[in-house]
Amino acid sequence: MSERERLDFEAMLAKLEEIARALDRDDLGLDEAIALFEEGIARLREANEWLETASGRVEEIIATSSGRIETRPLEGMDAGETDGAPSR
Amino acid sequence: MTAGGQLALFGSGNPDGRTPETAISVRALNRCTQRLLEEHIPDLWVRGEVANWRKSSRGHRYFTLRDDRAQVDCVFFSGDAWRLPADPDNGMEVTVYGRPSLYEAGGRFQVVVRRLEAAGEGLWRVALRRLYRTLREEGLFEPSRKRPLPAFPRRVAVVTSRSGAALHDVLTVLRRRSPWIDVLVCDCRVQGEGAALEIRRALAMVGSAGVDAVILTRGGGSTEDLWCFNEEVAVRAVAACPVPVVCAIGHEVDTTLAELAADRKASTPSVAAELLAPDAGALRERLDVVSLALARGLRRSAARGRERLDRSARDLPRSMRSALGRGRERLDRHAHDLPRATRSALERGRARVRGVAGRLDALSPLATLARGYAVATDADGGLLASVDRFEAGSRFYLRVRDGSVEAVTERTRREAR
Repeated sequence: MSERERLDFEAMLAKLEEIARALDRDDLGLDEAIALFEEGIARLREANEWLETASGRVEEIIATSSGRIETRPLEGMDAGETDGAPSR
Repeated sequence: MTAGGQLALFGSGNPDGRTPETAISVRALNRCTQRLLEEHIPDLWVRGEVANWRKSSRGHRYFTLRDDRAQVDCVFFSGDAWRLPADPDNGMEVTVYGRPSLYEAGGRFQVVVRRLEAAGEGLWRVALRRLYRTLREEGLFEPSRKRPLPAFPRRVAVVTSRSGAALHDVLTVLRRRSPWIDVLVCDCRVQGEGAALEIRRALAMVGSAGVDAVILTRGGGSTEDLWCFNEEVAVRAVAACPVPVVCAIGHEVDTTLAELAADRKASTPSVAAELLAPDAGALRERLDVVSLALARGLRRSAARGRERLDRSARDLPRSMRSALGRGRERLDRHAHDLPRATRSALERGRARVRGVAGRLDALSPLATLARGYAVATDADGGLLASVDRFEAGSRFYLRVRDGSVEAVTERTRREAR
């Protein structure tokens, strides 16, 4: 998974809502307001793009015979690929 | 049993016990009796009261079944006895299903029990009630222990049977609603002997695998199938999991202790997945709300700017008045300090005058004239510093140290520079 996909959506949404709140302040200058607006729009675009493209992995965790714990792609299950989920 | 039958048991030519010479061994006797019993009495249900219940270190149970007239030894081997949800109390009325037989080494008549059921509410309920009471007293089911589920989990573990329908349901919902979530599947048996231990092992494994939450689930089944989720090791493992656990076991009507100990119970595997997977569509809507708020904020900001300008224009006279008032106040305050300030201002003034007079002396043309030079001027005192300013026959004045001289221009001569 790339860094872009690793974006923390929760933090992103929180930041956006913070920007929207800041834009609502009564003592805000117009220059400041425009700067906030532009930052908000850029982040919105980022968040929407993330929602469209981010895709996670489906893995299986197993203990090997030597007792080591490993993960490997889950095979033989097709649920992850059905129902129009984005391809990975 | 006829003597002929007995003979047939040992076969011809073998010791048959008819004479001292053909006496049989104790072992042969017991084995013969055992065979007789097992061949002639089928497996059957026997009702009685439990007495002298004991459990061996290997998990075998030994007890006596009795009524008011008779009693019989019973053995319940661990291979069958593990299914017992709880050991019955002595004195409890039970029915056992098993095979009447003879224990060869001990020569004891006994029933080899395959199943045991308690009358009344049954051992399942007895066991459930006992464990429930214990764990509740420990606070394992306290609402205050429940952790909130993460709103945006990035990595979710699913502990269930790899071959069950529950896994398919969970994966389908997770992929559909939050395709960005990483899923970590941990296969474990979800019914039968040893399943509770596998559940504990699986929870421990995913608990240290860096997941944000765990779904522990299996589909519907009989009370016995679901029993492992009522076993102490499994229930405690759920409570001990370092990350929040959503538990969905069996159908909606079933409730297991594992679910009571979980941070959240879900009615089905799909619902468990829904609880953890935020819906991408709903998130898009939230982004839309933010985008509207941004636009509104900017509009308001602009409107506020305009309003401020209008207000300033309106308020101008008043603000001037108040500025004047402030100015007056400052004047009054300074008036108070005036005498002292005046004195020092005079001092400063005198000093400046002295300095200026000195500089003036140095710059004055009078000092130059005193040394014998003269300055030509016109009638108005304007300086005539160039030959261009003189015309033949024109009148001019020469200023000298002690007065002025009226003069007439004869002719002019320009000197080359």
